[in-house]
Amino acid sequence: MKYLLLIALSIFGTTAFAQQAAKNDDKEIKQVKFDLLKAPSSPASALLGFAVSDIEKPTDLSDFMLSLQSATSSYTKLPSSYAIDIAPFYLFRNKGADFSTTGKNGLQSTKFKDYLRQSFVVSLALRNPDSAFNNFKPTSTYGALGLKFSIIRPKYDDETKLKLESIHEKQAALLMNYKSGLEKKRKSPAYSKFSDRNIFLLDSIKKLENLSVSEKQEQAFKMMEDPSGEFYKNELKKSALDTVFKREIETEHSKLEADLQEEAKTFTGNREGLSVDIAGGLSTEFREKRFDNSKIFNSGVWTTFGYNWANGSSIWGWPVTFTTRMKYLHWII
Amino acid sequence: MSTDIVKTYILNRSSEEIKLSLIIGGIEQTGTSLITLNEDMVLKDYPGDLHQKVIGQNDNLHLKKLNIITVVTDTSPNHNHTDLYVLLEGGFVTKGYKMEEEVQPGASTVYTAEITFYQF
Repeated sequence: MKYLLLIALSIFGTTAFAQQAAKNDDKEIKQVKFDLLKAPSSPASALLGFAVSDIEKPTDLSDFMLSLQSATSSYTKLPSSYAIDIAPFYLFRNKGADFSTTGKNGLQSTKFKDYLRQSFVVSLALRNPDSAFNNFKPTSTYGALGLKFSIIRPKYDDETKLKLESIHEKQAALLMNYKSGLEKKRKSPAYSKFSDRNIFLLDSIKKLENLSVSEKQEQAFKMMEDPSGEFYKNELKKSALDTVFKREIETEHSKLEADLQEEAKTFTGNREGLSVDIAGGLSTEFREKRFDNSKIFNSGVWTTFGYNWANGSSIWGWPVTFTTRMKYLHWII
Repeated sequence: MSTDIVKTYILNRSSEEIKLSLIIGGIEQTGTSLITLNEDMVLKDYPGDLHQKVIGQNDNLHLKKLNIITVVTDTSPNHNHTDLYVLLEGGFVTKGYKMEEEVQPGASTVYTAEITFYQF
């Protein structure tokens, strides 16, 4: 019932905005294209006119730092033209956000806290135009900040849930095969001799009477992290043996892995139900490229309602979209 | 990068808990894990990420072996990247190990980690 109310409010809202816009500027309404109604995947980049392919999307912290380093010529200057989308909860996944499909707090979760974190994107953009285009001036620098997240996310449809269950069952069977296979193969003397030798090396440090416990820990840690040392090499040799053991087990159970691949290949991740996304951003023009001489350049808030059916079809739109450009205000439906 | 790691984790002389986290990547992949400590089953067929699972205490893990097997299947329509981040906390240092592999569409990677605990 509350969803119907939301949709109704959205329709009434957009109708009201349409009338307002029609009064203000008939010409504007004629120029509205349907795809403009979609909430942009990257609000800040959309406000500064970046193509989707030009937006950096780092998947981990080192990617992010590399991207920043490259854009700023090793942190020596501001980038001339740069757009980035950061999913903070993905970059810091060890803090509790789960982006896998089947996790308790993963993409199948219907808890608001979970899908807010999974959909939350911060977008940043900076543009120094070489020449005048649209409303951009080559004498100014433009900066933008945007946010995007889901308010309501539909749940996986029944077919998707069944497929995930089937994938999970096959993975569980595979895990048991690898567990028993590895336990058996790791008993070989070739494998255990490296463990025995490394424990001997640690015991040798433990026996040093002139060192305190913390000094022994530090010495052992240094030894373990030294890639040229015997301890480190022994661990590498053991992991190389594990890789060989795994290949042997894989050959024995190739049909199960092939079945799992067939199942996963056709996974679509379809969802069923109402969706509401919100995106918003604000950009600033720094006149004469001075940071003490600025004004709001444009801004936008996009609220998109939609509904997905189990057969994969969906309807969406009815957005309440509000954008400003320069000193003018448009309501777009 | 390897899909198998063998590491040793240094314990403190305390009764503080040792916690394990497993983080499955990338976005929209499907992962399941099986974890044993010596012969004991800690978690069987655990789906998705694992956050700060208590494995034991510094004082009772000396020379015990933690074995982790995680299968990550490519279910993402947007990429074929799989990874696993293993994080251990509560001992001498917090330590993280990352493994990753690109796979064929729909294929799986089986990641293994063998961690031996050692107390001075």
